[in-house]
Amino acid sequence: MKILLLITMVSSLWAMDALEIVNRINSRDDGQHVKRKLKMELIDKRGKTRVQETISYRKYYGEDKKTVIFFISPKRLKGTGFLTYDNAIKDDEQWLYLPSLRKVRRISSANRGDWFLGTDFSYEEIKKETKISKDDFNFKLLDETDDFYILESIAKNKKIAKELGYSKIISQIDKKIFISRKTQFYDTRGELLKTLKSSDIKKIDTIWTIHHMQMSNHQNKHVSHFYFSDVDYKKDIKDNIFTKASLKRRR
Amino acid sequence: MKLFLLLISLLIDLYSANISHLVKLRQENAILTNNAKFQKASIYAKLNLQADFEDGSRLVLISTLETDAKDKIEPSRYNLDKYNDFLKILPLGTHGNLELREFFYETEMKGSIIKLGKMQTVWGKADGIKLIDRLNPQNFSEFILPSFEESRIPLWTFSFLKSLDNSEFEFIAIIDNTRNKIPINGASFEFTSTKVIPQIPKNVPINKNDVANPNNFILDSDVAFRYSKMLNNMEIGFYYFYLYNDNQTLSQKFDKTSNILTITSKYERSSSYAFSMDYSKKNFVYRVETMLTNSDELSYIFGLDWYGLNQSLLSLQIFQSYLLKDKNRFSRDKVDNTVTFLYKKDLMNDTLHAELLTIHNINDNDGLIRPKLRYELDEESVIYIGIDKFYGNKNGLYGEFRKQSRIILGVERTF
Repeated sequence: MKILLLITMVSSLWAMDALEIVNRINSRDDGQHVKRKLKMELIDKRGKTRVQETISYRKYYGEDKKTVIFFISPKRLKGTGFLTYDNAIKDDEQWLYLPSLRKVRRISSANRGDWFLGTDFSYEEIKKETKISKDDFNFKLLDETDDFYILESIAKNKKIAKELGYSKIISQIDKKIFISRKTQFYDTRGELLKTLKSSDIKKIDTIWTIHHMQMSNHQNKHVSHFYFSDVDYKKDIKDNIFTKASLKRRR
Repeated sequence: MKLFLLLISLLIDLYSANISHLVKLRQENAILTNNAKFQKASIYAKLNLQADFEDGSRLVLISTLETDAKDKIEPSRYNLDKYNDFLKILPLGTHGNLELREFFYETEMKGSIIKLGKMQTVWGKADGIKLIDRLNPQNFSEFILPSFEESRIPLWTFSFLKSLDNSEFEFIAIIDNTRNKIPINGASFEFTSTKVIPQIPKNVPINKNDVANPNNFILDSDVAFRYSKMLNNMEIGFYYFYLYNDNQTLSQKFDKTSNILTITSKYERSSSYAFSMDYSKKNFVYRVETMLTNSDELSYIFGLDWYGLNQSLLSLQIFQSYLLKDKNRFSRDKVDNTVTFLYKKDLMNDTLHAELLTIHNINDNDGLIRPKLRYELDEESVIYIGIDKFYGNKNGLYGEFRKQSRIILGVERTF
């Protein structure tokens, strides 16, 4: 009985620690606003590489967040714009501008498990920017080393797992900066789906910033490299850049 | 002297501007399904030049060159009768043409965006059907098969757009009397349906009275306003148009003394009021457009997009046009009903795109089916194959082109 009580106490202590880690990850300073360039290298299983470049702006408005992404290359995609309002209370809102349509199209924000513009990142991962949703997962601290916490995040139910495309995530959290260095995603059948490695992490204006992310899909053998550059947390970003008029105008 | 100084100043600005370019090249073949003959073997080139100035303003020039070895789409000549004379399409023999598609200057002043020049203005929420998207006339040389971006006829326009916190106001003035481009006799997509070309009684002398296209620079210019606002998760838009209809209105009068039937065709201007809405909830996006024209016609589109399937879009639209007065009923039903269905799926990390579009007119039981596959060879090159299948009543707007059903093969490169 005493042993059972001890196990319960230890596991509850670990659960609390896990939640604390998640809180630290989510409260990590990522700037009130940021402007940055992103180079996406997409490599298929035959080694064929496609390169796309974007410039993006993100700004917090209280608990809400607005993000706009403009494609600058390849030329075929130049002018394509993607605007998202991540709302804390109401449903998220998303718009896509395709130069070939000359029209800003309202799109659903609910398909969060879909791949983001042909990459191996999902819309949800792009939106969360390495943060973890406490609404979607239960957490458990699996292990602790000198440098890392090994955190397990399990989808709260099958519906969430289906929406996100994975049932479990195992993250290797850097103890000093509370950023996952290696994250493994398991699909709804429990099989390893993809691995995210974050590297080239540097301080920009006192904020720890990832400059390289590599997402490898183990099932279709596709790999996405994200290289961030020209990261600027200081220069103010005008509110009117997060409008549909701005999506159309930026070519 | 002032003009000269202005020109010098513009040239200096251009010299310091950041100039970028984009060239799109496309080779496309259309093969008729009923006899396996080529309907089209075309080359299309588009040059987009843009000068971005330091103050955030920009100058945009878009020009196109098109050639068609088969010359069946518009045989022998281009019908440019309804074009404004200023910088209109330049025919290159009978097989090709050069066009200054767009040429405009855009600047931001005190939070407002001002555009001036030849351009396209696209309003509305509907896909594949034009209701609120009516500021530019349409080139019907290939019926509605090319993308609207390429078949819309850009016009000389002044645009003023003011974005406020959650709303937008836009004013448009169009000083260009170019109208819809209608295919000539003998063209592949010549209109024969009585919905477009009214039946003329046999054995009655006809007097055709084609009233000239109004062309007063000020008095005949078109104007339109738009105001849109986000309300919670819903965007609503209100529109007012005072425009010439880009199709001629036909009227007939029979003189009993001379026994002559006079058919008058003229461009008429009307006031239209419109409303649009889009709303997103979970996997669905709801879209609505309604328009009331001159108290004569009420039209509306209900659209429903579903994103519930992985990497896919399923979209359904219902379009209904209702004549409130009977005076125009000589060529169409009082209520006209069209349904569109679209399925899109992205495969292989967005390198392969599958699409199926159908448009079905319920009144005439005719329509158009368009399956298409696009594959990205690399970042800048795309190959595609598709079918444009017309079916149904041969007197219907779509069924009349049953013999023009075709297979499309193309390759496109951008650099």
